[in-house]
Amino acid sequence: MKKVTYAELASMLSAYIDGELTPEETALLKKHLATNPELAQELVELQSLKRVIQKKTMVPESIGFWTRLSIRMEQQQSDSTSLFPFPRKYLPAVTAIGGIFLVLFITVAVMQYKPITDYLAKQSDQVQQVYEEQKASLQGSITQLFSKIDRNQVLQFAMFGTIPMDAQAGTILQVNEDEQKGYKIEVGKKQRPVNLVTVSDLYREIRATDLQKSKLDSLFDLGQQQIRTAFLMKDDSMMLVDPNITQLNQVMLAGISSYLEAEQRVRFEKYLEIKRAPFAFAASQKPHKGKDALIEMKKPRGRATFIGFTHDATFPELQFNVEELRQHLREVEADQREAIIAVESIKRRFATRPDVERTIYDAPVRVHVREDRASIVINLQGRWESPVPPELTTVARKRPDGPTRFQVRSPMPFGDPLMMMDSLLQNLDESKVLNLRVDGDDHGIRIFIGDSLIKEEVFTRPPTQLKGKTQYFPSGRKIYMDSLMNQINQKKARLINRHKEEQE
Amino acid sequence: METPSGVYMDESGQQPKNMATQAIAHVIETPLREKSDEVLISLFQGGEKGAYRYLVDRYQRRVRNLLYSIFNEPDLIDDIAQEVFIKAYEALPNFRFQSSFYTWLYRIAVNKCRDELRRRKVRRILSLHALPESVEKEIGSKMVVHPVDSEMQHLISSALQTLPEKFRVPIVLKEIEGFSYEEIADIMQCEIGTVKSRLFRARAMLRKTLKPLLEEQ
Repeated sequence: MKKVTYAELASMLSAYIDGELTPEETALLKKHLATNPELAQELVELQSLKRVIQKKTMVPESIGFWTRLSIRMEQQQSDSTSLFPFPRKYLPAVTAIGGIFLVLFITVAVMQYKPITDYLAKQSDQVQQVYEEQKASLQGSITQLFSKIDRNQVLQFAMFGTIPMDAQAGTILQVNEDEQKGYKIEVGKKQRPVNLVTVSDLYREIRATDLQKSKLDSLFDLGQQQIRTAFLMKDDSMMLVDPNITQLNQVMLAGISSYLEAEQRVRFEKYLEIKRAPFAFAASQKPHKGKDALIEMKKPRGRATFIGFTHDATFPELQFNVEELRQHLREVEADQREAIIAVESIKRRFATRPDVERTIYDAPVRVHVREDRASIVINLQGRWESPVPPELTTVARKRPDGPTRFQVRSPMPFGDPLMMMDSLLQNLDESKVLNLRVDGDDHGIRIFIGDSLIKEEVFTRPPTQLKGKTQYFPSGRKIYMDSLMNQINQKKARLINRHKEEQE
Repeated sequence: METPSGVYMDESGQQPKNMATQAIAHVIETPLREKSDEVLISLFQGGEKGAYRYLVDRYQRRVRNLLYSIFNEPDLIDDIAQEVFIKAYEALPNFRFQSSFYTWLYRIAVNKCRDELRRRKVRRILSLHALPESVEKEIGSKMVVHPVDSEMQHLISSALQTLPEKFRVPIVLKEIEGFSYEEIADIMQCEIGTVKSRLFRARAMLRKTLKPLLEEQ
C-alpha cells in the first residue's frame, strides 16, 4: 500500500466531516487519527468550524415577496405568457357564476392585456366587446371602494364603524375593536339593522351652533377623505385596506367631542346611547382640543402600509406613498363612473365568498371567510405605528355588551366609605379597569367599569341620602367625589406603573 | 359569583369568549399548496401558471437565505431573489425533470450570484468613485425584514465575505444549505472532486479568519 502523506490525510478531513469519504478512505483516516494527535486536533478544529458556520441564522420570511415579484414580472412581460395571481382553473368556475364577474375579469385584463384578451375572446364575443369599451377607463386601476361616501355615512362610520357597500345586496363593511387581538374589518351581509344617523339629526340633538357646525363639517370632510383612501381596489380583485382606518371612528368621536361644551357632550353621549353606538366616552380623559384631531388627520403621512387581500391570498404589508396615491386617485376620479361598475361586482364578490377559512403567513392578519361575511383581524400591537396620538384614540372607548360589567351593591358600611371603596378597588380585576363610573344612591354605591362615565351624572343624587355618611363629607359631595376620583386615579397610576414594570 | 370584598360579577361581566378569533386561527390549506414540486411544475407546463406561486412560496426563503449568505446585504437580496425567480419562471417551460427542482433553482441562483459578483468586480475596476445610489428602490424594499445579527453572526458573515466566490458558494451550499457533494457539483456544474477540494480550501481559509471565535468554542 502506498504511503499516505500528512497533507493528503489532512485534505481528507474536510470530506470526512461531511460524510463524503468512501468506506476505504474512512477506515484509512480513522487508523491515522487514532495514532496521530496532530491530525486528531485538526479534526476537532474542523468540526468546531462546521458547528460555528452552521449557527448562521436564516434570513426571515419575506412577507409579500410574491406580490412584489408578480408586480415586477408583470412589468417585464406584459406581452408574454399569462400570469394569473390565482390558478387558471378558477376562471371557468367564476365565469359560470355569470355576468357579475364579467367586469372583474376586465380589471384583471387591464394588468395583463394580451393573455386575458385571448382568453376572453375564446369565451365570448360579448365579453371582448365590453373589454374593449372599458379598457381605457380602467387603466391605472387602483380605485376607491367608497368614492361616493357622504358626510352622513362618515358619521355612521364614526359611530358604528360601518359603511354600507351595496344597498341591494345588503352588504356592509364593518370595523370592530376586537377584545384582545386588535381590530377586525368585516365585509358581508349586515347581521342586524344599523340605525341610520344623519349629520343634521346630530346637530339638532346636540344643539350645535353655526360655528360648531362649520368646524364639524370640516372634520367630517377629513374623515371622508380618510375613508376614501383607506379602502381601495386593485386590479385583480385585490382589496387594499389601510389598517389605521380601524382607529378613525374613535378619532372622529374624540374630534366631535372636543368641539362641544360639557352639556353638549352629555347630549352627544346620550345620542350615542340611544342610537346604540358601540362607543362611549371615558370621562376620566379630558377631551382634546379639536385642532389636534384635525391637525393629526391633515398631516402628510409619507408611506402608508396597506393590507391587501384577494380571494386566495393576503399581503399584510404593501406600502404606498400616500401623496402619490391620492394624486393617482384624483387622476382616475374622472373614470370613477366606469370603475364603479367593476367595484360593484367586486363588492358582490366579497359578499358571496365560498365557505373557507385561512391564515396566510405568520402575520398578524387573519382572514376569516364564512358563508356571508369575510373578516380580517388585524393585530395592531406594536406592528403598525398609528399616525394618530394615542390620546385621541382612547377618549372614545368600546362600550361593553350589556349595561354593566361589574356591579357592586352592598349597603354602606359604618366605616369610612372611602376605605370601603378602596377595598373594592383593590379587589377589582385590574385588567378591566378602563373607565370607572361611580353612582351613589340611598342603598349604597354602584361601580360601573368599562362603561361610559359622565361626571355630571354622578352628582344627580345628593349624598345626604347616603344615610349617616354626611359627616365624612363636611363640605358636601364634591369632596367625596374628588377623593373618590383621586383614589381611582391613584389606582390607575399604580396599574400603569405595574404595566410598565411588566413590560420592562 | 361573589368575591371576598362583596363584588358581584353579573353575566355580562364575564370575560367574553373570543370564539371568532380562535376559529380564525384555524388553518385551511389550499390543495395546490400541498402538491409536490413535480406536480406543480407539470401543472405550470400544462398552462396553469398560477402554480408557480406555490413554488415561489416554498423556496423563496431558502433562495434568499443563500443570497444573504453570499452577499450579506439585506437590502439587495430581495432584488436578486426576484431576478432568480423571474429567470426560473422563464426557463420552467423547458424544465426536463432531470434534476430536482430545487437544485435546478439553486443553479440559477448561483449563476445569478456569479453574474452579480462579476458585475461588481468590473464596476470596481472601472470606477474609483463611489457608485451612485443603485436603481430606485422597488416597491417595498423597506418591507424586507433585516435579520438580527449578533456579533457572532456578524463574524461568520464577514468571514464568508472574505472568501473568493468559488470557495464561498460551495461552503454556503454545504454548511448552510446542507447539500451533498453531488448536489453541489450539480448546482455549480463542476466535478465532485472540485467540490471536495474547494471545500477543503474554503475551510482552511475560514479556520484562519475565525480562529479567535473557534478558540472560544
